[in-house]
Amino acid sequence: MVSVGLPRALFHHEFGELFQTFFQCAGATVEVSPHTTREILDLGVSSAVDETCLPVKIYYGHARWLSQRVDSVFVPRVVSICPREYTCPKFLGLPDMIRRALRGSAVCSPLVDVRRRGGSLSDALVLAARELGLDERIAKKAVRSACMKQKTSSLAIREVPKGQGPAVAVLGHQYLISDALSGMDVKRRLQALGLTVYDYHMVPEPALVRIQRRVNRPAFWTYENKILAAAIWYMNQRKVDGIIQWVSFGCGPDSMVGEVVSRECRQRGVPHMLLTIDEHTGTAGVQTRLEAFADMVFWRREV
Amino acid sequence: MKITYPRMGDWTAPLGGMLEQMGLTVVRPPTPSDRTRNIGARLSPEFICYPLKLNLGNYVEAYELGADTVLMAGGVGPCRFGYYATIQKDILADAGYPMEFIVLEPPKGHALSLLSQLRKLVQNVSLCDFLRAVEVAWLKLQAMEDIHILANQVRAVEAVTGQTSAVYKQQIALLDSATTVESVKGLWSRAREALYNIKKVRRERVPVVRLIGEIYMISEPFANLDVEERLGRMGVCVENTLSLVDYIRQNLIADVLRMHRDRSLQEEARPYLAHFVGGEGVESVGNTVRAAKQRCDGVVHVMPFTCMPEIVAQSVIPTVSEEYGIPVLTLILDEHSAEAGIQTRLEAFVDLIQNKREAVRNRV
Repeated sequence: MVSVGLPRALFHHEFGELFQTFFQCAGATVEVSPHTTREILDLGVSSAVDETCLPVKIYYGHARWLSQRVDSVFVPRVVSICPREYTCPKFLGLPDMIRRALRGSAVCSPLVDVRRRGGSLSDALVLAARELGLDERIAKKAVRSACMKQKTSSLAIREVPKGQGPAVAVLGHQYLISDALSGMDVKRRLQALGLTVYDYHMVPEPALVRIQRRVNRPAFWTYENKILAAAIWYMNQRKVDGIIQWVSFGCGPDSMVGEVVSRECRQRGVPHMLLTIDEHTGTAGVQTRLEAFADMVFWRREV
Repeated sequence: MKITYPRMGDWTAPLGGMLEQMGLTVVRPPTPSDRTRNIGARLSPEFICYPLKLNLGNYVEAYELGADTVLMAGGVGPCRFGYYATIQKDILADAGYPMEFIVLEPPKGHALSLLSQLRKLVQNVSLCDFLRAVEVAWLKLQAMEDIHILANQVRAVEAVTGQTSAVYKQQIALLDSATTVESVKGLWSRAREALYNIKKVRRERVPVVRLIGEIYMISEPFANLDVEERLGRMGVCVENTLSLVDYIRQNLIADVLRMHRDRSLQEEARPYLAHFVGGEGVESVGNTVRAAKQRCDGVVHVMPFTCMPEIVAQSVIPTVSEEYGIPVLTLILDEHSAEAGIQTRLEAFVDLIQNKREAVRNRV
């Protein structure tokens, strides 16, 4: 039986359930890499070029960890998951970058590009199954059950927290915040300080779309559009007392949209903090800044 | 309305000339200086790419000279350039330099729609004059590129250091002032002659280095810290892969004339980078392969710090370098880059090329 490795990084945080269920149902042995550890990060840092961002370095680490253990590492080329939009240029070239780092290990990289015909995520999965020599008919069935599983898991992250006290929105790429290392448990840290924490998944999808249409010139990056729209929605609804942006050092799209978000916040008088994360960031520094931000939010409430 | 535009080395001069000829009031963006860079870096977000910062500096300096409108190109991603206009406008307005932006949207490979967008700006000029201005600018651009290539070849063997650059600058300025097709043609051949007449030294085969990378960085000498001139003074012939003429032919004219687009660079890059990544990422990889196949001695890859497409290229270019045995030097630049560091790295690179060549010769 062919074994497939799924790096627990980038898209895995969003489509992990889908990938895993699919390959299992399609008849492959699935190995998911463990949560990011210092060792995995070091593997990644040593094989990626210095200039790449932290999430991509983490991805390198997971892929290298898996390459010793499985027949093929699953590295989809995710060009676009929304019509007329892109993910990020680095994801467009990710399979080629990973191939270079793995030198010879098999990489399975179907194209996901909803701008083209036959470029949807499920098409890509069937394509991957064919490439791995799995039965295509079974694969098509597997797609269906995988999509069901994905739906239930994505409902869970949309659940809105209930809380009375001050609230903040933590906005950033899911693959950065959900990662064991680069996320630094930021949500838990904020909750421990007595804050209710929101993220962009908790904004109703129609509201996001509506706001995106109203932005005078929406960007062409899917995740950044969501982050910007979520920031505006939370401020319009007066749901939050502050916005924290969690970005990785050298993130291209965030460098622009972060600027737009901070501008929006300034105009509306909502506190905004941009935390930049890289592989050198220690948790103590982050904790201090989160505490200071929380203090400020509480004081502003009292005034 | 006083129009300015982002500067890209000398290459945007024909655009300025064209707009002037169409009767618009044009404020030419001043040559970037340390001041330009400082203004840009102060106003820009921290991790934005260097071209945006220099552009902003350009706009502010043009604003001080009276400009109130920026003419620039748009984009649809995934490179950040497509979002430049949106963010630059907001930043300028906040900083107290309110400017209008006219964004020429990428015409999906159509020169005609680009021209019609331009035409809307200058309706009081007759169509005949409008087209003549376009023709002059187009010819001027070709002339400038030709002279630029020649200057890079001559500089590597000039007898008096700095003479080529002086002549080149002079000739470009002359060309810039031309307003008719005939005068451009005349100045073109005179410029070639002037470069031929520069006193040269005899040298055994001159090393050839190809310059690749992000389009703004390889076209603006201020941004790349005069990398072409530095290499030229070390006796290296630089071949700049930048060609706006080619770019316009491929992307704008090919579709109008229903010509076949040249995909050979993409094909060269395919084994290493199989999908377009925005910007010039694929072109950089393809150009490295081509440089190796054409037996260049080395490749210098210039990119702005945090440039996403070029990071992808940088990640896979080492494979090309190993397989073909071609040395590649990657220079990542932003407002913090200093001349001494670049000079040292270039010198080391040229030494490496020379040594490599001698080693090959001794083996034979």
